[in-house]
Amino acid sequence: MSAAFKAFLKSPVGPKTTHFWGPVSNWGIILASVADTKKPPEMISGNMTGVLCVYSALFVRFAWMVRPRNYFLMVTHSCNECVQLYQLSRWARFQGFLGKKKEPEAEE
Amino acid sequence: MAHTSSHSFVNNVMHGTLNKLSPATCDFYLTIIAVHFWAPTFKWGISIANIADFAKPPEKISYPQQVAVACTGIIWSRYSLVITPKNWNLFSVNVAMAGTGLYQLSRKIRQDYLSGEKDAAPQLEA
Repeated sequence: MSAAFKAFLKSPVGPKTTHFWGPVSNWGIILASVADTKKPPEMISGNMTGVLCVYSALFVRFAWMVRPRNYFLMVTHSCNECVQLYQLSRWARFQGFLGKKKEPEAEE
Repeated sequence: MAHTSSHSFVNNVMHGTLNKLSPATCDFYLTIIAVHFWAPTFKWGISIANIADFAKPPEKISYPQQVAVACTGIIWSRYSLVITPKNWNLFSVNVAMAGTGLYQLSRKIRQDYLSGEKDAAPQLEA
């Protein structure tokens, strides 16, 4: 086993601590949202998606400021932020908040 | 007050204003400007969003998302009791997440699998 892997195992935010397995469970939300990107936008909940965007932004900052610094949590919530912002954009476009790009030429 | 902080904004505010206050008040203000407070507190928003979604029709509920919310809530509830000191704040917010997630799942399952049987039965009789 390499020294880096051993250091990871012993780390205060490593796999022997809840600071590691908690964020692992947070990946469930991310994977669920990735699966939901394939579904029609009617199914997206604006409430939940908006809340998750703010929540992940706060936790990126939390993971950076907390001691010991938790890079894994930071990466987890950065990824969630990306997925949730994408879902939010799909929801907003479907609800008409983003406006139509251009009128279809078939109107003329 | 023996507060140490690596954040210079907090240091400046502290030396300028806060050390004129009592330690308890100083602690309070330091807490409410810290992300260590707001990030876990905002987690309540997930449960509140789920409660707002109780009014939505079950067709709009997403199985993967609610399963993930319920599982996350259960796992974190357990962890918040295993760490020292026990974090009842974290425990309560994750219990709420698990509870609302499981309720949403029950609504969707009830619609997809249980009311389907009620609708099917009259067809067999007719």
